[in-house]
Amino acid sequence: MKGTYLGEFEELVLLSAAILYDEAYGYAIAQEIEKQTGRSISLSAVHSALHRLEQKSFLTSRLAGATTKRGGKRRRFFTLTSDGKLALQEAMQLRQQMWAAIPQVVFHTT
Amino acid sequence: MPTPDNQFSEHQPPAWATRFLRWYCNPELWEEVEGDLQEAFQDRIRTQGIMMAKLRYAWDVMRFYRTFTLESRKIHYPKARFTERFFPSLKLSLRYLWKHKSFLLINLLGLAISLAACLMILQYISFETGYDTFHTRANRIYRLSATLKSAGSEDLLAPTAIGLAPALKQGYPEVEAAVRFIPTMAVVQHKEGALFSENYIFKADPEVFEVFDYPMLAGNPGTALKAPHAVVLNETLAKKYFGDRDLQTLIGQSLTINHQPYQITGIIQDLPKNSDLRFDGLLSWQFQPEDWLEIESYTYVLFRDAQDAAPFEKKLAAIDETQVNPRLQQEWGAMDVQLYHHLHPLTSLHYTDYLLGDTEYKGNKMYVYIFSVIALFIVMIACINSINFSMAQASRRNIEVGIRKTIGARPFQLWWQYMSETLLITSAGMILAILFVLLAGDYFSETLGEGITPAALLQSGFLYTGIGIILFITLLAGCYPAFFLSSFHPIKALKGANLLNRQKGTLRKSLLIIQFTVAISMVIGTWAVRSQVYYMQSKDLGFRQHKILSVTIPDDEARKRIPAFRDALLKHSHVSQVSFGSRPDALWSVSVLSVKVHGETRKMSVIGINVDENYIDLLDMKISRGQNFLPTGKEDQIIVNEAFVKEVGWDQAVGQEVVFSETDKKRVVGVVKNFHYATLHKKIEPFILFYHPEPQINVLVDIAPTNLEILEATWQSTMPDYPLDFEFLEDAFHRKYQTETRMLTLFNYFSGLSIFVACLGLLGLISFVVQQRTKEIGIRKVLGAGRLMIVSLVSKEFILILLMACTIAIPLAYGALQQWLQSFAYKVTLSVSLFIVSAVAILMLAVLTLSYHALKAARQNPVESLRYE
Repeated sequence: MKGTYLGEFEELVLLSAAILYDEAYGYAIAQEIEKQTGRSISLSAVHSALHRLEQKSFLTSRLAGATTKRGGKRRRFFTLTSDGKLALQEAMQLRQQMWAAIPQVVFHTT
Repeated sequence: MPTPDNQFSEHQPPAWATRFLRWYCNPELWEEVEGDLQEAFQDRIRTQGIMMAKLRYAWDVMRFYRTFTLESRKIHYPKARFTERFFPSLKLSLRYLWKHKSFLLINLLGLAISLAACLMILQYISFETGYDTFHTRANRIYRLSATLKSAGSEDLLAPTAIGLAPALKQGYPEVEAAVRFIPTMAVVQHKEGALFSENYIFKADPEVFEVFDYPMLAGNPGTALKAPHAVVLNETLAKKYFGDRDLQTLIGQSLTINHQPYQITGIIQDLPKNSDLRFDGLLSWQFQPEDWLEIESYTYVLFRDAQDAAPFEKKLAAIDETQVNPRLQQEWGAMDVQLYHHLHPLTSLHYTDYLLGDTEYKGNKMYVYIFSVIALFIVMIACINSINFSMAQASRRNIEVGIRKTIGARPFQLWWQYMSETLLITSAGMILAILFVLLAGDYFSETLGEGITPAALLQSGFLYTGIGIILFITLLAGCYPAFFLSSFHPIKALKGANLLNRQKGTLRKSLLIIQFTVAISMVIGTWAVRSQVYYMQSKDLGFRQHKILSVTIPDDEARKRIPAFRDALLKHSHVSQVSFGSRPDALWSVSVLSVKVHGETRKMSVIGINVDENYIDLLDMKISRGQNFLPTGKEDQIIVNEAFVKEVGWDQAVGQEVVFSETDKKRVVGVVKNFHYATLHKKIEPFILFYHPEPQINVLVDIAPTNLEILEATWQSTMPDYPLDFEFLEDAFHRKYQTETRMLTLFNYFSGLSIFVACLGLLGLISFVVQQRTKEIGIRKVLGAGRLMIVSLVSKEFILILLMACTIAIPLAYGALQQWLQSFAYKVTLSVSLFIVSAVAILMLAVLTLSYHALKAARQNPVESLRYE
């Protein structure tokens, strides 16, 4: 595995999976990201990211919950693993650390 | 957030996109992907409209075409090794086949028999179409033939002028070589020993060995025919004269041929039987380059390039105009004779028309086609059996298919498994077929004609043909059933639903109809061929052949002593009559005469032979008007046949004068009833018997085959220095219908075969049907059905099929037979009874086949049949 580096889009996907908690599957995650960011998200990109995240073992999945709307197809629900949670926390910590390092003068508008 | 699950429309995304997705997508992933896409699609219908939703769906499907969806699932499931898959499959196949031994046996037997027939026909076809292909330069060798035109008539001749070959060789660079063969009657004397009369000896140019491939076993092909008085023999003749001596030691030995000493300079291998020009020996000779009048040599030209032949036809015409015809004019003057030459490719000579003085018995392409079709038909019948059995048993194998599919077999794997089962059976059938053919060996070549031996089956070249046939049949017989079996839906298959209901056996029925149509047509065909052959053999030809022997007169010298031979013969009480007349059944050239009728001269083409006064009595010909020749010794009498009288239109034929030339006028003394001088393929044309009391070509003797020693003794006493060469007219007659008789024999076998194999198939099918309906029959019996009812219940369907086959086969066979009968001038009329009898005979046979299982079913105790489960 190519390290546990978390890309920007992967981070968004992982965050959405965390937000949706019990209801996190491909389409729902895509909708969530669209809603949060206002960007148009392609389903295939989400699936691809989920696939990668699962391989990096940030996520686990199970198949369940077929509905008529889905043409009787089951969805794959994703759940964050402890690695996944850790990765998110690290990402957040990294940001906070870096935010803290910014000299106050940068944002000082006066 | 997605909209609630219960909000969805009836609209469906574009099916093609879904299909595409399922096709490329990793099977582990497509469910979730398609589900998400569907969900998105449903949402978009409301937000963006149906059109947009469909477009976006398709677009998304395209965008999912990515590495992760394309990954093969083999990463996830370990694939079984080849041996792990193959051997259990094989074991299962074998077990299955063994469990249904009777089906296997019927299938195998049918296949083996029809394959054996097919192999024999293949041998025949490759023999017939392989004429002269053994020469390495065959594609560049052409034979010349000639058209002899004289006032009003055209004769096609196989021999050409002797002078032609040297002229072609010298004047034209594209001609690499031109060689001649001149047929010669040879009387061979070996030391002081016996005399042999050899009919297949040619005088030939020394270069024949450079043009043709005649492998030499001893001697030098470059020089063999260069020296004068050299002879090259084939192996058979060498063995005949010298026994089993080492061939090398024969070089330099001397032989006396036609009273002249010859030296053996070479021994060649016997020529293959499928060679248009056949000979036993070649003599060297001194030719006269300028001889344009003797039209007696077979001339072969070897071109430097096969492309040269077509343009050379034009040059040949120019040679005829500038060289040949002026010379003929010069020599023959007023006779107005012209000679034109043509080229024929060597390999096609076997199928050209028989020209005057031609080399060998000619083949007929029609028979090659007929037998190719028959071979195909027979194989087809066997294939249909195979298909029908597999299809009939499909319902028994549904459980197997269901389980295999559930475990994870993919359709094409199952397809392969069933194909390999067919392959197994076909291969076994092929091996059996080869055994059959080898066992039937001698009989085989006897029927098909010499030269066609099963030994060719053991040659290496056959391997590819054999494998080709096996694959072809496997594909033909196995493809559909394998496809059908492997397409079962696993759940339905396991539930035991009747998967055959869908087609109600329509395929099986139509295949059965095809089978019996072929079989019935073949039986009708056989019957018709048989009646035509019997008709030809038993038809009164207008002259007697029984006990008439023709003795060939060797040469001019011997001819002088023939009257003494006749007188000595007639002293025996067993010999009643002898005539010097020419044989009535030889091939005669057509000549054109002027006949004066009512003072008016008209030209007509007639055939004529020279005969003496004993001829008509000897051959039991019937004189309808006038009388026989008077033994006056004057050659001014002729007897004409009825066709002649009809053609000329005489009211009173006897006493009429026929003008041959100013100085040659003859008077008709009698009219003889029409007789068949040629085979029944040809119409009887105007014919003249010329009175000519001297011996000419042969002597006809009325003698029984049991009294041949009288003939031999008389010959020995009157002309001991010549070999005796004779033949009964009857034998020659039978030889002329060889092609038809051979065809009849083959037809007999092959129609029998097709019926047998078709009935085998029927037997298999009815036994299957009865097995399937065991319970039904039991219940019907319990409810009071009689035996007859049960029998009709199971066989009704088949009888209907047979009747349908009859109605198709009869007009088909009728059309084909009419076509075949066109080639005979005298033929049988096809009677209705022939068709009805054939059809009824086959129906009876089929009913007999059916009745075994049908009766067995009817007799069964319902307690037994209902208990089974």
